[in-house]
Parts: sequence; C-alpha cells; structure tokens
Amino acid sequence: MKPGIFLLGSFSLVLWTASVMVGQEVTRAEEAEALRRQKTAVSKPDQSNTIEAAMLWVQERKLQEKLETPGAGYKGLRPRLGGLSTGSGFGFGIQFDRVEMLNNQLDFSLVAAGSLRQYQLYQTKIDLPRLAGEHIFVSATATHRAMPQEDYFGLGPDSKKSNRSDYLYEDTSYGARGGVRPLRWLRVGAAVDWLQLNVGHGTDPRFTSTERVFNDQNTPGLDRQPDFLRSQWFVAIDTRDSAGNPRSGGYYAASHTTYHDRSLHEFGFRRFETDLQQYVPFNAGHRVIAFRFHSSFDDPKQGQRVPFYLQQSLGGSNDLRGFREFRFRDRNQLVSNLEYRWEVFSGLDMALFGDAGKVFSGRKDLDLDNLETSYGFGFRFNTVKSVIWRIDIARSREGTRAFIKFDNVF
Amino acid sequence: MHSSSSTMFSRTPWSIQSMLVLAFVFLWYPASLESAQVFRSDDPVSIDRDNLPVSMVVRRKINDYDDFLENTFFKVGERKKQRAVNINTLGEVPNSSWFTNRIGAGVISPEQLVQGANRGEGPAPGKLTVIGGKTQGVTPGFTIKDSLGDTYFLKFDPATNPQMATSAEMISSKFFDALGYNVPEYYLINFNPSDLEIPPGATIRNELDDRIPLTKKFVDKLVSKVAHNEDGSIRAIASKLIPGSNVGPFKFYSTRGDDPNDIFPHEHRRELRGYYIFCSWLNHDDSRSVNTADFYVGSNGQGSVKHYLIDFGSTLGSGSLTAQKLRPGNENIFEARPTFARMFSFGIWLPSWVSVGFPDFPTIGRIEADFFQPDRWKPEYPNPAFQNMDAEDAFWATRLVLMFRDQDIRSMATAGRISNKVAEEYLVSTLIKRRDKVGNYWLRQVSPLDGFRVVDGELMFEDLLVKYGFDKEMRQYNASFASFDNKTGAKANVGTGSANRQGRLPLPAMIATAAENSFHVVTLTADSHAVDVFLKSVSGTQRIVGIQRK
Repeated sequence: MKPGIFLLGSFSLVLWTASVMVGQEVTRAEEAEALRRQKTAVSKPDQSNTIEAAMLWVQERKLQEKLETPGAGYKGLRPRLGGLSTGSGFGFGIQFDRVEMLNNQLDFSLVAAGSLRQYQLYQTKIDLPRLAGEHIFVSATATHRAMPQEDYFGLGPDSKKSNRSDYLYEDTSYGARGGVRPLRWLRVGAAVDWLQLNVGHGTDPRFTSTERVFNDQNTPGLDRQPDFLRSQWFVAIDTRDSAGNPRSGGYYAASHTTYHDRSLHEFGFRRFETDLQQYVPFNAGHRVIAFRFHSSFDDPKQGQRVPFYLQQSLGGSNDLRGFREFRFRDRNQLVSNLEYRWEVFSGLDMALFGDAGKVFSGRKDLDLDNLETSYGFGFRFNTVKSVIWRIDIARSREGTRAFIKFDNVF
Repeated sequence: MHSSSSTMFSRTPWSIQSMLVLAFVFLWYPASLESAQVFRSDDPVSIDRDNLPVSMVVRRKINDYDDFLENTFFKVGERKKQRAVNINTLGEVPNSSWFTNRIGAGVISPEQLVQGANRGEGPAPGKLTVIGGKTQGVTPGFTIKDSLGDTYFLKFDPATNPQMATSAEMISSKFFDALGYNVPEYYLINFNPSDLEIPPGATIRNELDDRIPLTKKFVDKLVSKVAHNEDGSIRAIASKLIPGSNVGPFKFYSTRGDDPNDIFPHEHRRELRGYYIFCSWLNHDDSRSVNTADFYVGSNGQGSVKHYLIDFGSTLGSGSLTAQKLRPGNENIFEARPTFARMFSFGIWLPSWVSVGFPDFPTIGRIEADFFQPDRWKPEYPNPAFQNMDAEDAFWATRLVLMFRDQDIRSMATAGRISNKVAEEYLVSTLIKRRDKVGNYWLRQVSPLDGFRVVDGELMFEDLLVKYGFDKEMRQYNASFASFDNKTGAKANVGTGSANRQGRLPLPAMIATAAENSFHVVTLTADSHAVDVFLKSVSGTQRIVGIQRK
C-alpha cells in the first residue's frame, strides 16, 4: 500500500471514530475497541533487527550444526578450522565425513588442511567405534603431515633460547588401532602403524635451519631418517564427568610404545608414558582444583639412539606455558600442572595455574631438581561439555607468553 | 481499564506510532470536552474483548541467543514506574486472550485444580503412531497420533532423574492454568516402546533439518537415552496439540505489530508483570519468550490470537535435563556485579546460594524453601515485564498465590504421580513454605486490605496478613472520607474515622445517603501504606467501583 493512501485511510478511520463519539460517554470497551480498529489499519508484522535477523538466518539454516556435526555440511563436506599441530599458525581446510554406515557401525572421514605457515595435513580414517554395543572399537588411519617450521633449540634442559632453529618434519603413517571397553570407564587396546619420516630444511625466514646450527652428533637423526614400525598397548581409566570440560573425576592412562627402526636399525627405542589427571570440585562444583602429571621415558634399544624429532618436548600452550613451543626436548620428560579454576559466570571460568617440568636424558636426573616453572592466569569460555576457546597468559624466566587456543589445556 | 497513551506503543515503528498518537488525540478529544470522567459506566470491566477478527498474523521466530543478549545487555521495552495498563478500576486483570480469572474468580475444587486445562483423558489406548521426532539435545521427543487421530508431543525424563521433569511439567501446568494462564493440555502416560508404530515410508527431520527415514531402530535409539520404568516401559508427558495455528512466541515487551488486538505493551500488562511472583513461587527460571506461544484460533480471516505459556520442564526442582542447578533462580546467567566480584576476588567471593543444601530426591530434583527469598528470585535472564513489576502487581499476584490452600497444593502435587511419597510430601511442604514466604513478604509492600464490600452502611474489609496468619491481629486503620468529582478527579475531604479491628468502618451518613451516581473515596491508612476505595451511589447503595493501593 502506498504511504499516502495508507495515511488517508488511517486518518479517515480516526475521524470517523472521533465523530461517532462526540457528545457521548466513551466506555472502556468502546475505547479499547476503537484503538484496536485503528491498529487494524496500520498493523503489520514485526521486523527483526539486524542482529536477530542474522542469528535467525544462521539458526534456520542450521549452519552451526552443519559445521560441527560429522556427516553434515554439503553432501558431507564441511570446512575445518584449526586442528593442525602446535605452532602451525592459523589452519583451515575441508573435511568429508560419512557416519553411521553399515548398520550404524562405520564412520569414514577425509581431511585436507593447511595453515598460513604452510603446514599440511591429509588424513583418511575408517572408524568402527560402536562394535558390540560400544564395547569394542577399531579404526584404521592413513595420515600425511608436513610441518615445515618446527622449532628446535637443541637437546637437554640447558638448551639455549638463542639457539632457536627450525626444520621440516614430514611423516606418513598407515595404522590400525583397536581395543575393548568392558566398562564405561575402562579402555584397553593396542595399535600398530607404519611410519615413514623425513626431516629437512626449515622454511621460517626468521630463523636458521636446524642443520646449519646442529649436527647429527648432538641431534640424533638429523642426517638420516628410517621407516618405523610402531606398536603400542594402552590402558585408560576415565571417570571424568565430562571429557571436554571436566569438573570432577579423573583420567589415568598409561601406554607403552615400541619404535622398531625397520630400515636403518639405528633409531629403535621404547617409550613408557603416563598421563594422570584429577579434578577436585568444591563449592558445589563452582570451583575446581585440576591437577595433571605427565611422564614419558624413552629407552633406546641396545646401541641405538632416540631421534630428536620423536623425543618429547616441553613448552607451549599445553604444558610449560611460560615457554615457547618445543623449548625443551630430551628423551625423558616430567611435567605437572596445577590449576585452580573458578566459575565467573555460566559461560566463563577463570584459572590460576602453575606449571613445572623438566626434560632429562638419564635416570640419574629422575628427580624434582632443576624444574622449569611457569605460572599465570587464564580465561576459559566454555559450555558444560567443552571449552570452546581459552586465553592463557603465562610467565616464566624467559618472559611472558599469551595463547588463544580452541581446546582445553589438558 | 487504565490505559496510557504515552507508553502503549513504545516499540512500534515510527510511522505506526505517530498514527496511533494521532488517533489518541482524536479519540480523547470528545472525552476531554464532554466526559473526561475517571470512572466510566462500564467500570469495572471484567472482560477485555481482545478477540476482534484479525485477517492475518505472520508466524514470528525468536532466536534464543538474541533473546538472551537483548534482555541481558540492552534495555528493551519501556522501563518506568507506571501502573499496569490493562487492569480494571479494581486493579484486577479482566479476562482476555491472555488470561482468564480462575482461582481468582472463586474457590476451585481440588478436582478442578487437578483437571486443569485438560478436557479429555490423554492419548487413547492402543498404538501410538510416530509422525515426527526431535533429535536435538540430550532428551528426545516425539510427535505422535493416537488411535483417535489426536496429536500429542511426548517428552521424557532424563535417565538420572526418573519422573522429575515430567512431574514438574505436569504439576506446574496445573498451577499456571489455575492462576489463569492459557497452557496446553498435559497428560502423563506410560507406554512400551513396542506401542510405538511407525508408518511405512515415514520420515522425520533430524537436527540438521535433513529428512531421514523414521525407523524403529532410530526410535529405539532415541528412547534408549531416557528414563525407563522398572518394567521396561517409558513414562512420558504428552502435551496435546494446541488448537489453531502456531504464530510463534510473544515477547515480554512491546506489542505484536500484526495483531490489532494487542494494544497493551506487554511490559505493562499486569499478568505478565505479576508472572514474576508465580515463577518465583514455582521456581520457573525458564520463564522467557521461547517458552511462550501465540496461536491463531478461529477460521482464516475471522480468527484472533490466543497467548499461551508452554514448556514447564524447568520448574520446581527440575532443570529439564538434570536436577535444577544452584544458580538458576538465584542469579541470571550473566550479571555484571557478581561476575566481576568473582573475577577479581579470584573466586574467593562466593554467592550465598552456592552453599544451599538439598535433600536427595532424584524424582524431585532441587527445590527448597529456607533459602528462598521472594524478592531476590531471578529468572535465567532479565525480563522487562518482571522488571516493571510494582507493589500493586505483586499484591495482585500474591493474593492469587495465597488462594491455593494446603490441601489444594497437596492435590495438585498428586498430578505429578511421584512414586516416592516422601519426596512428594517434601515438594508439597516446600511449596507451602514458599507460598507463605511470598505472602508474608509481598503483602507488606502495599496495603494488605482486600475483600472490600459495603454492608448496612459499613465498609467491610479483611487484612490478608491476618487472614493468612502472617499477623495475629489487624492494625488500627484510620480513614478519611472525601467526595470525588468523577469528571475532574478532584477530591474534597468530608470527614475522618477509624475502622475497628474486625475490619468494619461505618460510613458517614452523607455518603450512605448520597445522591444517585455521586462518588466518594475512602482512604484507609496504617503504617506507611494506604488504599483508596472508590464508592458510587447506585440505587441507594454504595457500589465499590475502584481500588487503588499506595
């Protein structure tokens, strides 16, 4: 309707209403009815404001669900943000999923992702996680990764920050993993895979490539990389109330992994790893003490060495947060984290934390001496089920570090 | 009804607003010259006829997050101290498409209270044909047709809390119906999964809005997540499809632009402001727009909009998917002051609600009465109508709450069919205690006098604080009498007096024998509160035409 006609019509109605009423009492009912008749002439559906319209657009198209749900998206294709390794920079890619095939038993996924620092990930996975009423799980995976700017500072606890270099790490693996889940909280299983590796020239223009600073003597495996057959057994007890954002319970896992050097017979070793987490709620779960202890011990086979690129490292957003990623690296590692988390409101927790850990080469150093430490505070934007993103600010003897991450710390 | 031209259309678009302001000028023009009377011939009205035919109403949608954001971080609707605009001259809410006086209109039998909105017996015996499903969230739901072809939506209890959500929904819906709101028909049923029939070729939309085959396996998977009875059957609450066409939720502010009958801003409607009192009593923290629904009822072009409250799963001790958590009812999802207090105290500052204890009744969840403070209770996020509630709104609602006698509450609790009778009795005693706290607090914020009537030349009334046992005896009420000019609203004192402690106040002879259609006002005062009672001489008797509390 044109505004002029609209205006004229409304005006006429108003004049008519007024003229009818002149000289006589207006009852409540008449007054209300007159108002309603006037509104009839000008009524029209409410318009959403821009923000609400945008939110409704997203809601009606189920965009959030389609981005997050495996198998959703466009014919199973959906974008993927992040998910590459630590230090890769902003990552993005595409993922294809088909889920609940073969009578709800089989899931399939393909991933291709890259990052601004030219990291790459290609992975295909066949997963049967719900066999025998979810008591048995089996999966097969083929993965290729290229990580051209991995930091390396040298081995041992005394490595120097000024020795920062970078190298290319590439691996391709083909493997299978399976196990049983006899109880809801217990998983026992084994895995085996074939691992092909390559170490090369780092591409970070800010730093010298590793091979120009270090040599194969002080950095085992720098010159040549074998193919590995990797075998593992593992056991995990998980009593956490929510794996993505636990507030009570614990997670206690142990694994033993053997790296068989199948080509050079020079770099075979065994690794025993434990990861213990405990969450102690108080004040009705609005406050939580979270504790984690992680250890890893590598034991080279007779006359063989542990290659530097497979040695455990410390530093970064998930362990020693006051230090750079991969800052310390050696055959053995101890690290613990203690966090006091408190709920600020339903969507945000804050945390005060302290980290302590060390890397070392031999059993004589298996003690709590010379621990590197860092401390700080963080913000955890979360739901009941998961931490959506977090900001951690940590300080150590090497300065202050800030992280924005889209995962929980442990 | 009192209406206000300055507030009525606060959020309508400018063009409409200007037209309506103009309309008001014309509408009030003759009245201002000829009959600007305070009381009209049809006062007090008992019905607001807001069912004029509406040609078309468009379904509206509200986004959950946007609703949270706009109500939490912006001041939506009009916020000012203003008397509710849809009340009659006695301060009552006339019957309308929003509200029907039920318990407020007189005593309802326990049987009627338990019957509530239900007009039948629920799903007919026999097969339940699944015609749709809700796969989102932890607890699923089904749309079914019974053997009579009636459509119901089924919801279930979480496995951790059998009977909790369904009983809460059942019981609370009875209360809200008795109070006067429109609610769906709810029925508790038990069925075996084998009772569910899936038509050949049936499909449903999943959480991604994709149409997928509806198979028995799919249904079995959904019901596997919910609480089962010991015999393997499943308890569900079946809400009957509301007649009419769902045109989306209503907001707690402004009016609906495409509904000409909707002329009173929602944030100034007494039944929406006073809804706070009921929600606090029944712990309905989820009392927000997404849990309301407007239905277009009647034939196309001749129908009108009826306003419903829906979804009472997060009431009493239920949080729908879990037992109610500690925060809901005590703090909004986000509140700046406690948020910053916790942030900067490193969590050392603890709100007192964190330490509240509850008995362990999984079938009830978490509700208590000792910590409960009627004026401190909070919904999930701010509600403009709640924030506009004044002491008169609260009095109106509190009086309705107090009309539920102990035996009424006990009867209505049985509608939840809670198998643990100790738990049920705890719920009943908690609701009684909360009811009394509501009464004892809100009746003291305004004059608690009620039940006015004129008998044999005396104005009689009762003090609700005494009636409900919160005070032992009635205060000494002083009275002043004034003549009242209905055209100008002017008052002229004609004398004073005092009521006895039985609630009787002799009226002066000049009032008792006043001329036909003359008006007088009696002001009763005690402590800091007063109430004006307006009398009109009609056929030699004094008729009460207005009440205003101060």
